[in-house]
Amino acid sequence: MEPQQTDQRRGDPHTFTVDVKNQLLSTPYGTCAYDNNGNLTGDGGTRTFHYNDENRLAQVFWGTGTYRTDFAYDGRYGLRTRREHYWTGSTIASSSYALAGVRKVFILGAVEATLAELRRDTSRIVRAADRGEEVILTEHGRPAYRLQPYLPRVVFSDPDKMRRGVLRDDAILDAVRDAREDLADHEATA
Amino acid sequence: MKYWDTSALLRAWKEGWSPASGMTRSHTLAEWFHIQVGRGMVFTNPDGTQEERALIWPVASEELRRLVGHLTFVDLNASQVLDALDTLARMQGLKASAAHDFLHIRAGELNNAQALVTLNLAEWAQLTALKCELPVKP
Repeated sequence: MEPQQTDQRRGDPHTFTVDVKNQLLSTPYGTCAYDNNGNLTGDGGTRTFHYNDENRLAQVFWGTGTYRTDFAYDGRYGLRTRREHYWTGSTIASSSYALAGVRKVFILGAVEATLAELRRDTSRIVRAADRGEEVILTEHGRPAYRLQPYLPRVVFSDPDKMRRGVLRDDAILDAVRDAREDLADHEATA
Repeated sequence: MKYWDTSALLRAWKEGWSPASGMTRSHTLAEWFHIQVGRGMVFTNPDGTQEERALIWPVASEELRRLVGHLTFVDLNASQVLDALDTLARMQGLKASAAHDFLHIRAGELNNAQALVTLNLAEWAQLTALKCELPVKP
């Protein structure tokens, strides 16, 4: 028999069934569907989920797809943008959010600023192209935020192959700091 | 024994060796693994291009087990962490991220480490009287 889990947080019992892989089989909205890679493609309601070749969520459709969210990805941060398509009452509009490095972009007051756009704001850039395309933004003349380009990301199963190439000490320290920032960001939004 | 931090163990791994002895905290394992399977680290190719390289999870786990096979684990208890943060709070002009480094340092200090092995010499030297040194392949 499939295990059942009940959500009663708001007083109304909703029953979900899961299989031995802990995949949802059904929700209060209906039966769930999965693709051959185990990705959820439908939650039993009006939403369907579509994935790219890397099994990353690419689109969420509500109904026929007129209302949807598109996700685009990059090499460095994974999730780069989310574009919402929504009904304003008379037309379909869309808005985008630069999710990657959003904390850094917001200090310029530009929600969707790209690296190229940031470069045009020369008064805030004190150093560029020192290490690759790194850009450092300043506040009151002091380095405040750092942006790095989206680099290709390669995942290795052979550690010896991964070791080839140069890994600078400051790149290691950057990785340690970034991991800690990731953790802090996650805890701040959890 | 010397205390090894995450950055030192990443450098040792890159160079293909592991410490013959020493100590670290179990938190170091989480940091090392997180970095290796998460964003990864930025490598420079011979042609000058850069790329972020990461490991698949099971390989990272195997590599880590081999890397720390000769290390002793010395963790701080809650009281020691709170005491360390009290000490840190009395210091001036530090970034919040110094807390991570300082907990590594205190673990080494409280366990009578001969030296702290890290790549972060400049910042650690401000936080401890213990000798700080770079990892060196034996």
